[in-house]
Amino acid sequence: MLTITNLHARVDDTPILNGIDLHIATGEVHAIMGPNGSGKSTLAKVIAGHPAYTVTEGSITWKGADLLALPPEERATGGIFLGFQYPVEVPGVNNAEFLRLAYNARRKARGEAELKTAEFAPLLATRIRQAKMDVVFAERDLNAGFSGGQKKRNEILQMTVLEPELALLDETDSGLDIDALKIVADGINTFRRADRAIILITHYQRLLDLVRPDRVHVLAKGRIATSGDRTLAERIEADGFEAVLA
Amino acid sequence: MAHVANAANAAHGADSWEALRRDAAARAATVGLPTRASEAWRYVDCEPLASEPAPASAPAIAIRPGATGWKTAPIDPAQVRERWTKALQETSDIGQIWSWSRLHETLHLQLPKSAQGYLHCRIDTPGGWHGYRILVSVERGAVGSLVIEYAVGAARACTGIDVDVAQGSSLTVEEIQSGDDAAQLLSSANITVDRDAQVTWTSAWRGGTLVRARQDVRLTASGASMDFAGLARVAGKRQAHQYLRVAHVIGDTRSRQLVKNVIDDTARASFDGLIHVAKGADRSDAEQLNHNLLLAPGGRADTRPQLDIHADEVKAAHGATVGRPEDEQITYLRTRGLDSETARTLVQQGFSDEILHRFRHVHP
Repeated sequence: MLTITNLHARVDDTPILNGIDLHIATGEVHAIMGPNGSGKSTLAKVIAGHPAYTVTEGSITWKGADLLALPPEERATGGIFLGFQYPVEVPGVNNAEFLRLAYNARRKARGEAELKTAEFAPLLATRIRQAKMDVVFAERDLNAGFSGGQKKRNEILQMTVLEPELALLDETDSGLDIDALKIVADGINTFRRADRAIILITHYQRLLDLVRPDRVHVLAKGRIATSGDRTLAERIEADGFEAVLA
Repeated sequence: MAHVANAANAAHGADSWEALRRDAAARAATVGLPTRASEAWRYVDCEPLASEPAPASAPAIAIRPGATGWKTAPIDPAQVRERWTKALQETSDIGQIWSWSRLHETLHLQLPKSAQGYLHCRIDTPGGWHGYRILVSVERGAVGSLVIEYAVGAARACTGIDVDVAQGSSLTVEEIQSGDDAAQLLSSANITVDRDAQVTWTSAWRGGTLVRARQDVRLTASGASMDFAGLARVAGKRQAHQYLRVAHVIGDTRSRQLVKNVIDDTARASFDGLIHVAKGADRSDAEQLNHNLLLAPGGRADTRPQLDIHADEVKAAHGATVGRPEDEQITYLRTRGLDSETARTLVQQGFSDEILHRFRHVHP
């Protein structure tokens, strides 16, 4: 589904990724861990096409095509979703209307008819219920004035509405209390399916206790330093990154 | 549309305001025309004020159909003589002074005790140079909505609105401006909010040769609150300026001000705000924000949000931004599948909509 080969990327003049190799198959959940500054968020943003990052070497193949040739919106409509570590506030843009526009962009890319507000409302209501969010959030401005936890849950709501084939979740668990973490984990587990893949970027074992990954990778200095099954995450939790990377 | 104010003014006699006009003209001569060197006009291109607009016909304050609850009448000179004489001597604001020296029409809007009301008044100045005074009295426990519409042609309109919001009452004002490029509008509002009373005030400006809105808010008793939001959308060579003063005279009062400007072409807009918290006005809670969106390199935004705090226990914040549409917002929307043009338009619309969504009765 997604193959990353020798990926190098920088922001401004600073190299961040220094040769990432990674293959994600359909149905898999991969966890990416690593110390601060190791390049985890950069990797997610480069896959999503964030324009602040420049790929200097390597390739990303998505469903057999060159992903790097696509602008971010075509990556999104093609099935890639990035749940931001710090979701952006967009005052004045209605959450429900934004979701309908995004949903329709994906439908349009698939050659399907766009949904009117009344047609989209039942789907949104279902997803809001599943995300255990208050319906009032649909009518509020996109992320504006949301708490950190509400923003993260809104990212999960967007993911479940847009139904991507690859979800990149960048520290979606950070800043959540235990109840919110369980709700987010439930959302991810419900989303998990044989025809979808998930990349979880996280610092903590606690999310991986709730969402069991197939593979765990540790990033260090812009490269995958080591990979393993979920017992690797347990070792990191017990001994820390330094011990695992030694 | 009813021309209540005109008809009623005649009842007080044609000369009721002549002495006031003379005193104000003398005051205007003393004060002189503002310039950039005047602290309160530092961001304004004052040049248009130097020439007099061509005289023209039929200025009027009109009440639109559908008003409920409000009593309308001309202002009784005896009722305001002392207040206005004092205000005239104290103010150096030329817009206010001209509203008296050029006084053409007055209107007293009164919402009786515990009443509910809605009223839309339109101040129409198709040409010439005219002053208007409106007195808004919201009595105890009343709940009122008011739309004030300024329609200004190739003219200069100077308006002065005194708003008294009594204990336990609530007033919502929607203030809009339309008119052509040659419009000059100097509007002033003096707003006094009493105990446990609440004012929600939302303005939308399109600018003109010179549009300047000045608001002077006084929260005079505990529980008083004022929520102000303003939006100027200016293009071409227009200018629009917001000058806002909020005084927390006493503690346990709350104010919020959010002013946004969208500036295109070579237009200009400014915000000059000040929150004053008086000595002893503890537990005042105040916030003043100004955000400017520059759509073209030739546009200009000036901003000066200020705090003047003399109490010890105060929650106060202020801030300002000037910039282009935020790249991070556009990128975020693009990662959800919206193309960059749609994302940019949505962010720009959203910037204005945060204020426009507050309008309930009119859609500027």
